[in-house]
Amino acid sequence: MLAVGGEVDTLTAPQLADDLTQLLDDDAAGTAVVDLTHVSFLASSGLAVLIRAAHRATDQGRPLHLVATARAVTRPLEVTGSDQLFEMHTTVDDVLGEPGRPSN
Amino acid sequence: MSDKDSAGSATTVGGSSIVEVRTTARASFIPTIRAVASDLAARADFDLDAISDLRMAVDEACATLVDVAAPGSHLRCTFQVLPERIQVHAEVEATAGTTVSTDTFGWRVLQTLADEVAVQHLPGADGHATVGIVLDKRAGVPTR
Repeated sequence: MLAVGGEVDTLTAPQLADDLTQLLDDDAAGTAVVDLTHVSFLASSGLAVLIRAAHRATDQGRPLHLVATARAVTRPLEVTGSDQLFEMHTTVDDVLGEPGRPSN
Repeated sequence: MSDKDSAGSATTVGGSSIVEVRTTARASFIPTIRAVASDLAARADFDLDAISDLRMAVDEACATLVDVAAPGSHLRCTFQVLPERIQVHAEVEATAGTTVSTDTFGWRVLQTLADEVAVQHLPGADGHATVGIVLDKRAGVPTR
């Protein structure tokens, strides 16, 4: 699981891209979760990084789970329709609490 | 609000309010500009989705312009607060012939977030040009 906080914009999106690559490549089979609960701003550059990661996860045959409740994250995802690319959750427990799923 | 906007200036012209923020054209100042956008929209009673959309749209417009700005030039962002909407005009000085690409993911997002958006190219003197983005955001949720 990757937990992200603060503002994801053109300055910080490259770091997120690196972290997501690591998340998806280190364990190419487990449940991939990105916790965006503490993200206070998501720019289109950050959105693009998340979308690329979703495609990468799909190529690996699994979904990318996003945990988000703040409007700063959910609104950009919804208004662009990109929320369809992810499994959306409101809490980390929603994902990791699934029976039979290892919590990585 | 004139006591709050030390980063810019506020004047009232014909019933609308204008706030202008000018920074060095550098990505590190964009958080300040989008905070101003968000603050103005909140004070203008924009709904929460519209505030979020404007903040993201202004961020995208400024990031796009900073990318094409001439080294050492300024980013000027003017907000005109009108009844039920805010019009934003952001511009930078760039090398003549510089264009803003509108076939990018960022531009498509910008078009989705704003009610109206357009690029302006104005040729200037000494091999320079002004490149700007004008966008319009209404206070309520757009019907799309």
